Amino acid sequence: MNRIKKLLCLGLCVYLFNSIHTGIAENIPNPKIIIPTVTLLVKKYGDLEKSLQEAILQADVKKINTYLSTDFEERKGVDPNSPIPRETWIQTIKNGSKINRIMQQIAVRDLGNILIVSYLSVMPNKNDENIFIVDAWKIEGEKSELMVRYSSIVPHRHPNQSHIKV
Amino acid sequence: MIKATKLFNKSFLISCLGLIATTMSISTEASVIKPDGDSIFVPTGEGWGVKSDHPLPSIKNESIPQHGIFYHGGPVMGTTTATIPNVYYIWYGNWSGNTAINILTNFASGIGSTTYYNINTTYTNGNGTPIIRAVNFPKPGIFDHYSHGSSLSRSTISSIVATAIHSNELPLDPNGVYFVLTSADVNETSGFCSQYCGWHSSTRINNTSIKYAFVGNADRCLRSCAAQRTSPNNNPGADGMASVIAHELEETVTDPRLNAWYDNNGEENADKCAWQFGKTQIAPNGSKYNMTVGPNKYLVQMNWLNANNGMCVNFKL
Repeated sequence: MNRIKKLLCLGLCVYLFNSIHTGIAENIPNPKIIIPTVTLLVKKYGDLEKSLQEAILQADVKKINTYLSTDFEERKGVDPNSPIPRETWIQTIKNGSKINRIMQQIAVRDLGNILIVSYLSVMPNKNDENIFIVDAWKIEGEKSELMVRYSSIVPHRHPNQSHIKV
Repeated sequence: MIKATKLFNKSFLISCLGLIATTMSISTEASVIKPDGDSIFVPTGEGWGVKSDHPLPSIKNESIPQHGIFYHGGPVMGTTTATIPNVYYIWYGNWSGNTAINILTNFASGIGSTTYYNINTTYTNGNGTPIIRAVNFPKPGIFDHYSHGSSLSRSTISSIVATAIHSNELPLDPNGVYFVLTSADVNETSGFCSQYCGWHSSTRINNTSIKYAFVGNADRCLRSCAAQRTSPNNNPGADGMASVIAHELEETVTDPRLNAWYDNNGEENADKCAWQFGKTQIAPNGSKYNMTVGPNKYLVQMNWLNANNGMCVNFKL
């Protein structure tokens, strides 16, 4: 067998060998491509969080007060030892930026009279950092009060970012 | 030296042929399940697909009415009598003694002829041919007693469907919509109850596009996945599932490969009306209902009417 034939054969083998891995990768089902039916709590508390966000954007202190418990505080990932108390938080809103962030990937964990609502707060400019927010809401009858917010910055293109739009 | 060279050449050739044979056998074996290549999701490189922030442009065509929801060129189901969708149930887990079997079997058997399902006739394929008001339920559901355990990941659901097809319990049906219905002791760990009550997707099995859905038992989280604790058929879990089944069916028929009917927010028809029930009546046990299928009453969410500027409705006459 001459050299050219050997090279052709080797080349064919390499090509086919590569196609094994490509073929297996393509043949693994990608079941994470789904269209979900959101839960009733995701819908209700998603709407509630959006209403709170709108009140923040408008610096509507009266409305914001109706959402927050009297001992509300926020703890941020950059300084978890320094909670932001209710009054400081509201003052910050009055003075803060009015960028309309988008809520994505909402989840609600039902613990009875406490609901843990988490979501990704996304900036319109995709190059900006996102914020992961975890809110604890206390339910009393028909009323819900936000007791505490935990927030942390999510670096852009975090490897564990999920991508179901909810 | 010449003999050694000939021997080397022969060995080389045999090695090459062996590698080729191995390659072909692995490829054949691995072709059983494939992702659907027509999905509009863009890869993230992270193992997830995401509905594109730049979705396919909608098709502007006067023969395709678009009222608050838009057509993006992909196939729909059931525009001819030969392609009427066939609903299959896979009862996964322990459903022994649960009235859900009768409640949801009756639902699937009759939903295709309802004025509720008639809403889907306002949707068309790319030629402007409307979806037909019909759904088949060709055979009783099959039972799967925990073939993949009691804690299922999202990826396991398609495997459950594949198992049912490969074992010949269910046919390989390109017009099929395969529902995996899980019992209350089975958890789907990728977001059931915390994010969603069900979902639909598509995959390829034996080179055939297969549409399937997951609907979890609402008994696991009634406050998340059931509209009411007292339900028309005295089974709030099953009655909650009925509405989610309707939701997933509507969306699978109008957007089976995630590239047909959805709006500018990426919402499919039933998404636009999620958890909205419109006009209801009161059943003898005090629960609400808005649909009657055979002997049973159900409370089912509204669906998006693709006519008259678009709206959520209970029915279309």
